[in-house]
Amino acid sequence: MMGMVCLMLKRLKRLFIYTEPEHKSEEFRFPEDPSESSKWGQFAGYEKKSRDEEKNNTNNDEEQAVSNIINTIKKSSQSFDYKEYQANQTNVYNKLSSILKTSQESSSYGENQSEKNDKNNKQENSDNYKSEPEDENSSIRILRPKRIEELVKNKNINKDSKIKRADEDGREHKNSVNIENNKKETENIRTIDITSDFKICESNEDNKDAKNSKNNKEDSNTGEKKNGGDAKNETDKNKKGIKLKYVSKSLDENIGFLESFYNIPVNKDLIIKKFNIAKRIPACLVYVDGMIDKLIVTQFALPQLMDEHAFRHYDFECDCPLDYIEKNVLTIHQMCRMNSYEEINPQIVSGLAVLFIDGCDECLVMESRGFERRGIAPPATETVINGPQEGFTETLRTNITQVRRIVKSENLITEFEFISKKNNFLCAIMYMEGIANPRIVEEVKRRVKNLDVDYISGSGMLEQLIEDKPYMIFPQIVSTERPDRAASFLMEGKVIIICEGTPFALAMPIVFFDLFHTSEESNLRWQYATFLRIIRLMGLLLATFLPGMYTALILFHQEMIPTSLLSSIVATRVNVPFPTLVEILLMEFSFELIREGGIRVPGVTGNTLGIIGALILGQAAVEAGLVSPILIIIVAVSGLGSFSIPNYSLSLAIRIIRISFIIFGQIAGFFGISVAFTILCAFALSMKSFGVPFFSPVAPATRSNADKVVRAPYYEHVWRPDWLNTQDERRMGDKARGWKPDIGGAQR
Amino acid sequence: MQKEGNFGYREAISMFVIAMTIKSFFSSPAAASKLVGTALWYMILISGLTAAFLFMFQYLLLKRFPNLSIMEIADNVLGKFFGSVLSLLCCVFFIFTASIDMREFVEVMKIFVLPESPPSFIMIIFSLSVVALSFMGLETIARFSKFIVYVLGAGFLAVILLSVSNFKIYRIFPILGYGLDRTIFTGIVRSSFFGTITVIGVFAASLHGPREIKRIGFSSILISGIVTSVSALSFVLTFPYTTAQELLSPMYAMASMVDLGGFLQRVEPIFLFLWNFGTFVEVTVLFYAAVMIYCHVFRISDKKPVILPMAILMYGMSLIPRSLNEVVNLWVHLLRQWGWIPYFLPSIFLLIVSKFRKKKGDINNA
Repeated sequence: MMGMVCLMLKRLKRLFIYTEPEHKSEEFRFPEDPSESSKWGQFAGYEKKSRDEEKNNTNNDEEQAVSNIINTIKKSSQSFDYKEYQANQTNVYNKLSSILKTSQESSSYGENQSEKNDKNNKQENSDNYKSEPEDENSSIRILRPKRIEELVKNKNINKDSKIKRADEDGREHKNSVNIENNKKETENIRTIDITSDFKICESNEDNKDAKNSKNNKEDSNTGEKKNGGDAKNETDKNKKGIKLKYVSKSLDENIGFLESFYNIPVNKDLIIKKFNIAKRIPACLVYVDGMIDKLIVTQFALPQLMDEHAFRHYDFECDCPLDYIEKNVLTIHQMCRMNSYEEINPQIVSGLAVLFIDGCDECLVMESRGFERRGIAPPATETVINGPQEGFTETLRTNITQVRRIVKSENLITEFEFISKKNNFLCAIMYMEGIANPRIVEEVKRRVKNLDVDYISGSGMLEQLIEDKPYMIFPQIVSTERPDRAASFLMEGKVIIICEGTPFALAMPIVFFDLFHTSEESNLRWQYATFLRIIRLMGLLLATFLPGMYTALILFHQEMIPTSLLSSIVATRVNVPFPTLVEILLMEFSFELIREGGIRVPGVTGNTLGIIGALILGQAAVEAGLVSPILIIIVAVSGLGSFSIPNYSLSLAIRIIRISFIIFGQIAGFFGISVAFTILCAFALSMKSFGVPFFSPVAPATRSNADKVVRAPYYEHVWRPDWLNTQDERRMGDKARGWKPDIGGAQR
Repeated sequence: MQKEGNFGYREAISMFVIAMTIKSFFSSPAAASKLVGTALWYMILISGLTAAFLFMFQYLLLKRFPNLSIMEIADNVLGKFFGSVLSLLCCVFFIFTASIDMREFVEVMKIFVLPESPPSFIMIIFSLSVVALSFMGLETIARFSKFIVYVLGAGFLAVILLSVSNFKIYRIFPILGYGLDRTIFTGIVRSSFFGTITVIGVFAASLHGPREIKRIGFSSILISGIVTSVSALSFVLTFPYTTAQELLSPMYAMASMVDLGGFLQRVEPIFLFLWNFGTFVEVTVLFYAAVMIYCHVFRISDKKPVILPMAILMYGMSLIPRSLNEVVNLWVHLLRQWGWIPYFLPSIFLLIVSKFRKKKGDINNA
């Protein structure tokens, strides 16, 4: 008896005090084979172990201790002396409780499961119970003496029974305990599954469980074969030693996996709220703190789930209450069931709450996003006088809703896609079914799906990743901050991408004129809209050519300047010490500097700084004789022209192009500008946006409405852009103005 | 079959019209004026009619071999060796024509705009645009033509309209010039003025069948004939024919005479843009045709590596003439006087041989 206790204590001691291994230490041998070089660290004693490996080792030690206890009990039961046996059992359980209390695992599973089992066995076993006080914090229930006795007896009786253990990814360990006894006994045995490292493989487990387990196993085997980011992710999980591809029936396995996956407790963001459904079924709610609306969780999820009354019609004999909960308990508006962690994890980090229930191989993903967000405000970059005054925000769902509020059609399709593999960046691809060209839609989806990047911050980065020719200076995708413009793009047959965290929608494919138009023109009468466009076109041309033309005129083509003006220019340039090129580049650089500085300086100060800076700098430069007054006018006018360009990307492109025209104008006058223009056109005309030539419908010429520079009355805009090859070519009937039969939609 | 991407008839017409009419901005009208006097404007129409007649043979040939380029037809009719020889001759002719046209442009540019710049410098800059357009392919050349045809049309009309104040109706007389027979004969001989249209045979695979080729060919000749004739008429009306014969670029001179209200005067820099863009298109069309033929003969699928060496070759060839005098009075004169032979005769020859040898293309391709 004493010997047995000593043996037991000796083994328990190993858990806490380091002892030299019993086996003879291997002599150091210089590794002859390079593959053996890994032994060096082992011999030197500094072999680096990952945190997970250490954790597993700790668990193995605990497992070994429990196994030793069981073996001890087994031995003691052979020489049956009831008093001795009872004392021994008490001692054993005291030791066991001390081990378990020190365990870091605080699963409520054991408690709940034991409660469940106790309910069945309470009556018959009540006289044999020697109730142990429960640790409320750790939620661990200590095994009763009689159960251990039964366990040991069963183990003795079933000599053929295999001992099995399944690790968390579903793989079975050789030393796991598999007791193929009756179901009741098996459930009792499950109560020792308190460290969450044991799993008793039930012989009567259902096929689905087996299938999931098999899938998990297969995935773990084939995980390394996957390419790209998947393979990398798999490797990350391998390092942690815990892999689950699908939701396990065991809640502890799921929790263990999530804790490992999200680096808990190092990572403080993820909350795993453990509770009992109807005070019986162990469950947990997983969400990211700050990303959810706490009201949803605290008022519409947890109270209902924990309320026994809500489950009064539920048959607790059923394996999984998920279906019942989904249909009868939770009042959350949007829920779906998932079983693959590949799908679940992005949802968790996106702010959804996920409910895991013990015994269920699926989880319930609940819409609960409620992070802080900006309200809808007027668009900052696309202001209009006549038209809607609301812009997109940083919230994806709000942006989609804004578009849907305008396009009230059942054909508006919204597809979601996660872009970056590590960041789980969500974007919505929107298009009109029955209008948009399916090939363009497929092409957009193909490009988005085939991105393999870790991080995307917004639509600007996405634009760069999916555009046709990154080295072309013109933008090939238009971004808009206005929902009404996005809606008009959709109705034309374009595809829209809205990214989360960005108040811009990307529209594709586009042509040059999409960059040139604004949404205001749609709301104005055609005469006014045409006038504005002509002004804008002049602004565009002035911004592009004026400084270069000025250089060419001054240096090569003075004969074109009227004599009086020429003499005035010459008189003002007499005191300027720089050549024209230096003079104009100096002013251009100063102007860009003022503009950039004005943008970066916050608030009203920026605008003031810009205006005052330009005035003072210009005046001072003229007075100092650094530049001529005419040049100030040239630079100012070209700057105003560039401000009139409605698209920011196009405006930047024009500002860069302008410099090339200045240089070519300096080199060879109008001839040089012609050459620069030809080269620019050669590149721009070969450019395509998702297969659509950039200068359609001008070059190549395709059928179009009168809506390029001159805008015809709206009822004449009969056709959708021909270059989009839309499924539905007409956007209005033969008689758009049916009340006036003689003048209706144009018929072609 | 070499495919260069398809382009529509509007792009094609723009391209060929620009390539043909741009010659009227240089020394050719003055040279023709020496031969026919005041009858220049309708001599050009006679040349156009002759070119249309000769182009008909090429159309018949392309119709007989639908969707095949002239090089493929030559291989088909004459065999690979002789076909390649004929194609190479055409290639040399096109590149030579392109280089002479470039040199003529550069010389005129040097006289009027960049007197202090060496010709080689202007030619290098010029070649940049030709190479850029060629690098982007035939589709881009056609689109560029379509893109700038509006600008050129507007500029051309502006120059003509602004010069109306200088027109004198009496200068058109004697209306028969140096005699009708001489006018007709010169008109027929100088049909090479519209010879660039035969390049359509090289680009045939990129066009939508023989019917469209027919439409493009005849429309281009008609439009460019009218435009050239109008420009010729306007400068006949502006300058006495004796003076016109001495002008290197009558249109440029006409533009420089504009003076409206004291402020709108000397608008030749506007005309300069027409000049530049038009010449870029013309030289690029001929240059790219030469590149295509070369690549066909030597079975080179990617043209981009050929473009730069070919551009250097063109640059070198354009340096052969020693002076403007040699360019205008020898090479340009030769090209205009005898250019119809290399432009039109190969097609007629191939048509005759194919008839004789009963060679025919796949009609189903039409």
